[in-house]
Amino acid sequence: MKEVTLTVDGKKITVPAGTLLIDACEQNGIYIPRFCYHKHLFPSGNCRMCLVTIEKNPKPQPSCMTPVADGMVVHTNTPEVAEIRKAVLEFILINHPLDCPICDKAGECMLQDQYMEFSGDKSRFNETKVAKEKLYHFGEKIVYDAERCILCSRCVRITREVSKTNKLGILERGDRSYVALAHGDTLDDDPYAYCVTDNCPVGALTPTYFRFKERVWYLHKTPSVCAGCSRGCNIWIETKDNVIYRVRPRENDAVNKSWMCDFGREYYIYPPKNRAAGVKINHRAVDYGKFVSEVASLLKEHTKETAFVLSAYATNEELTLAKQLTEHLGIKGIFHKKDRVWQESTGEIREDDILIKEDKTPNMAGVKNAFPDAKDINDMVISDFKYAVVWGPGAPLDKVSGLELIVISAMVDQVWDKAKYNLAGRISAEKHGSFTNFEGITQDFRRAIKGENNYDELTFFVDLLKELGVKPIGRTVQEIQNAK
Amino acid sequence: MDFTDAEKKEIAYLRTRYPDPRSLTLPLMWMIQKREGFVSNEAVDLIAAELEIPTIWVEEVRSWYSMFTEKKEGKFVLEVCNNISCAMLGSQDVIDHICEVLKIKVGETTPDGMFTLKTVECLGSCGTGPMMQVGDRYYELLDENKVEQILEDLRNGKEHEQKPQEWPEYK
Ligand code: SF4
Ligand code: SF4
Ligand code: FES
Ligand code: FES
Repeated sequence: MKEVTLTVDGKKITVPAGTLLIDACEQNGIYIPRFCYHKHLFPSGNCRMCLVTIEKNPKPQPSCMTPVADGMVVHTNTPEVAEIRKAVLEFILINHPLDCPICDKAGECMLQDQYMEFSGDKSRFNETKVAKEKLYHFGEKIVYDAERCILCSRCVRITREVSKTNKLGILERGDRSYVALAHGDTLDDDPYAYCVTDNCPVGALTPTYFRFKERVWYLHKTPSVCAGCSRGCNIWIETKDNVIYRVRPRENDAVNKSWMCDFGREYYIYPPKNRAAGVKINHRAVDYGKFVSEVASLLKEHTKETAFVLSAYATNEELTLAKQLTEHLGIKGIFHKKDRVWQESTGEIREDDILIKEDKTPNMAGVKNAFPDAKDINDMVISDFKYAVVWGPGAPLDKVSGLELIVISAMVDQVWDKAKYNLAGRISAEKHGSFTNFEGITQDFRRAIKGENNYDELTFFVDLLKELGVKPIGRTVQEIQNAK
Repeated sequence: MDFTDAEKKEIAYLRTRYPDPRSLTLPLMWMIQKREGFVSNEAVDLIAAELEIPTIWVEEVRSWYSMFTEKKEGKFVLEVCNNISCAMLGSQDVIDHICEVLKIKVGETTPDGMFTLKTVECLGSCGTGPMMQVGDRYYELLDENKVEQILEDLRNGKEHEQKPQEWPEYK
């Protein structure tokens, strides 16, 4: 690719031709303030916060709309640029309501941050601010505050370029402008609607599930990977006191850019009601140690008659141990299943050409890597087996008889209810591990919340192996990953 | 609501001149505005469907131009300039007088549907302020008596001839 060399603040930098000046600077350690520019959206150049001066150019130029050119001499740290930034901030703040104390964005607001960094000036505006609508429901999911809006049009471009629903627009002109939906429309059926709230530079768009719930600086952010489908969007799970308050996309150019779908988000925010709990034999709570030893001896005794049904929610590290276990015992009947399938009735999207995949489990690729010979559970000949270890929900075994079930699952379903042996497992937010997405990209995630009254599957396999007198490949995610 | 046959023919012709259908938003909106006197939400849907573009794009255009209105307005829309030159020449007195005569406030329509009163920004006739625009015609050098006469003429269907304004003599 053709490269060009330019000078920024006296430093020579070389970037591919066609790069926008704002990105060229950022890649070389010079951050240019901005509101409307977003690296995953088409530039719109309306906020003017990114103005820089370019030699031989009579006027300051928006760096988000200016492609680099050979020999360009750019200044971003002169007193003139500092003055421009102050002026732009003063202008944007003229009609801004300054309700930071009651604004959910406070603490992560670009207007707050950039004002503190680039201005700090007192307002000279003594006139009355333009008052606008502060509670405009864009459907059930999102609330819009027209006073806080700085009209950067990011949200409009998200519905235009990302979700492609073209739902949002800007009505009226000048200081009367506001973002709106078409008459009678709502954002509820936009599968990427929450993305507008993450990427609004100010607190103009807030998700109803998070409004007034918690100040953002109290939230603990954990990097995780969405388990909603096989895309494996990178996410932040934001928690306090073991409760998930908010979920947001974590930027990853190779997987999900800056976005994630609303189903993925709601999967964490509204946790499923049918969570499994406890450890039971014959529907009675038992000691975990007893459970491990009983299951171990059962597997040892009935190896040939035991089917082992894998979970596509399993982490790669758990699968490594499961493989060690089945190989050690010599279990031959190994099957994979779809733990969760698309359900039309919930309004969930089956698949689109944006992010959402039809495979609604996060680690089918990991299962197939670890167990290339595993067969589809629908091809299982039930009469060949007397026992089945069923890992994860969704096994089509609820109607069959003649099988004694050992179920390890985070979810209660009919198979769980039928089982003789039950061990409640954990969802991905409750454990460390990694998933491999449909493109073969393996991504680590960290535990965001502690599991309550359930058991880490990884530890269970470690204990099972020890019970059988085998040294596990590793006892933690770290050890297993290092051993590979 | 639908386009008339004549309008449909016109649209077919216009399509040959505007390769991007989105650009037809304005001509189509004019058709509706002229025919109905306003562009309702239903009309917005009609235009969006005709051009196969998102509804919000059509709404954006309607709200951007003050020539398009969402609600039905009076037969005569009095657009009185309230910008600086006219204001200095006494436009507020004219506006107050219209309000008094018609018993409406700015932005309202008389119950008989005859008049709507609006204030607008500079119409480029600053030298002959106070002034107002009604339909396609400018009424200039207004004062209270003159505006009252104009209202009466309009109500009685008396046509005002459009002729170049004679310049006043300034002393
Ligand atoms: S709501 Fe937020 S993202 Fe949308 S235009 Fe306003 S400030 Fe920008
Ligand atoms: S597209 Fe899939 S992985 Fe991404 S957020 Fe949605 S459900 Fe989660
Ligand atoms: S970031 Fe460049 S104009 Fe807004
Ligand atoms: S100020 Fe009234 S026409 Fe210009």
